[in-house]
Amino acid sequence: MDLSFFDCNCMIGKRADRREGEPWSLESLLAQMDACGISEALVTHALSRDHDPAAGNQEISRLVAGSRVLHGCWAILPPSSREIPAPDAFLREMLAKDVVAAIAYPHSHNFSLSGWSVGPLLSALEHFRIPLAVPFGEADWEEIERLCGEHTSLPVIVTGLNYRQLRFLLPLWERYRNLFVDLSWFSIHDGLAYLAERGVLRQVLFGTNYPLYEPGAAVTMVTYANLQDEERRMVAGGTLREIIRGIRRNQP
Amino acid sequence: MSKPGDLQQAGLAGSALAGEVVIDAHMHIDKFYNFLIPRSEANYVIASAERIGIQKMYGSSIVALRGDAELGNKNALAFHAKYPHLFFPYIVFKPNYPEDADLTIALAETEKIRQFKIHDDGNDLPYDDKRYLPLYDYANKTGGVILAHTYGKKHVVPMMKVAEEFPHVRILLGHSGIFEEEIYAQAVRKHDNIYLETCSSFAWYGLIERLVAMAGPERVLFGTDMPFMSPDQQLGRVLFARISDEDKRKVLGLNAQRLFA
Repeated sequence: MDLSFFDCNCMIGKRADRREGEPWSLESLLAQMDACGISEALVTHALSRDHDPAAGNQEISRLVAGSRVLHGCWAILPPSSREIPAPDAFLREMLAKDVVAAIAYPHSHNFSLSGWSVGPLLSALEHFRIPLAVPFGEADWEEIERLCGEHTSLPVIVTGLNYRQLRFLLPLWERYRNLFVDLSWFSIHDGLAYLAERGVLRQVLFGTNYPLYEPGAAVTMVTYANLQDEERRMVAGGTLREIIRGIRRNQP
Repeated sequence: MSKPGDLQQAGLAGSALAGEVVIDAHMHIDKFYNFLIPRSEANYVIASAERIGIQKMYGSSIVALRGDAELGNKNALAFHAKYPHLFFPYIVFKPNYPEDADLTIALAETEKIRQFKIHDDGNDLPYDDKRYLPLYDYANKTGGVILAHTYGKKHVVPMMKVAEEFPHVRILLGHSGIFEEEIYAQAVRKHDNIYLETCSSFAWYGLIERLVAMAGPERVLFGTDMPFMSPDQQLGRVLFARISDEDKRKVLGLNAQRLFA
């Protein structure tokens, strides 16, 4: 069965916290995707997280330009700091460069996810239905709850969430259909079948956290899961493709 | 990228590893206080093992690891009685109940069990504390296997002392390489009676290859830590490792078959 995996969580570029032996180049990513049967990936550049978000955003767009399998993901900052363009211009540029997701590092980049800080930018992302990734640890659960509640049409993807968080996550999933998590560290025993039974499987996306983690470990969490084929396809990439198809590219 | 081997192909297809020896050297039964573990009940654990192709599981009771070794070890024995060909208990030894040491050793003797689990969860006593001596003496006399929960130097350094003083004990370092990889390399370099076990929710890139390089393919054993985490994830770390299928087979089960023989 071709699952057509679509990785929502990977990075290229030289990272501050690299462990010896971890690959960082575009070519390594493509080779790894090939080995693991991964068809497409949302990719962030390490410069966006570890150096200068604006520079990293431009670099990832340069690197993936014209690629059918790699899609850029841009880091956001509060527009008031004027390090990235104002929301309208930022969104126009994202769409023009076929950037299909944004990512926020509020802890690492020292800013607030509150309305007074990034509200207009979040509203612009929400208007266009562009998903926003928030790596686990970059925001606490109260901030995630506010983000989902104040922007109910914004797909929020908490990436790198560990397998110990269900007592936080399940109450939020009862309230918010726009809250998604990725699989890279979400290694719950028989977890996908359990979440299917709970009716929230659509909110779990395939993600690898490459190159920190082995992509094959995320692949087998899907291939061996106790799921129906259609459910398996949904986790592997179906839901993420649906989110991306939902981007309102031609909206004023 | 070289052509994927048969085991990697099985991982891509999600096929049970039929015809292979697959032994889980590190798993658990029972519930845990700190977070929700869905589907920790026996029927789900057994189904997870069968879906992958695990033929034998060596496990300990979480209740025992948390504190009540008497209750937890009984649970593990009951699980073994129900699944005698699939589940094999580690007897848990808790040093902060020294008054129970004789009871624990007697249980192992009566049940003819030679594998033990130690974990400092809740008591924080170092593994070279004298209160562990009854266990180490017994395991040394019987050539037993001790699986020690490890998270880097804090746990590995004391186990190196144990390996030195009790040369007939076979020591399995749980979660090998999870942090401070170099200490694991030192441990296997210095002590022939130390082995590495693979399970870790952090699927660190390239770690399986590095464990095999540091210990040799004969001293690395596959573990899942289920139901704490997904055995599917743990299997993928080995199936997709950049080592030969021959070495993967050793890690997945052949080494455990020899160690627990």
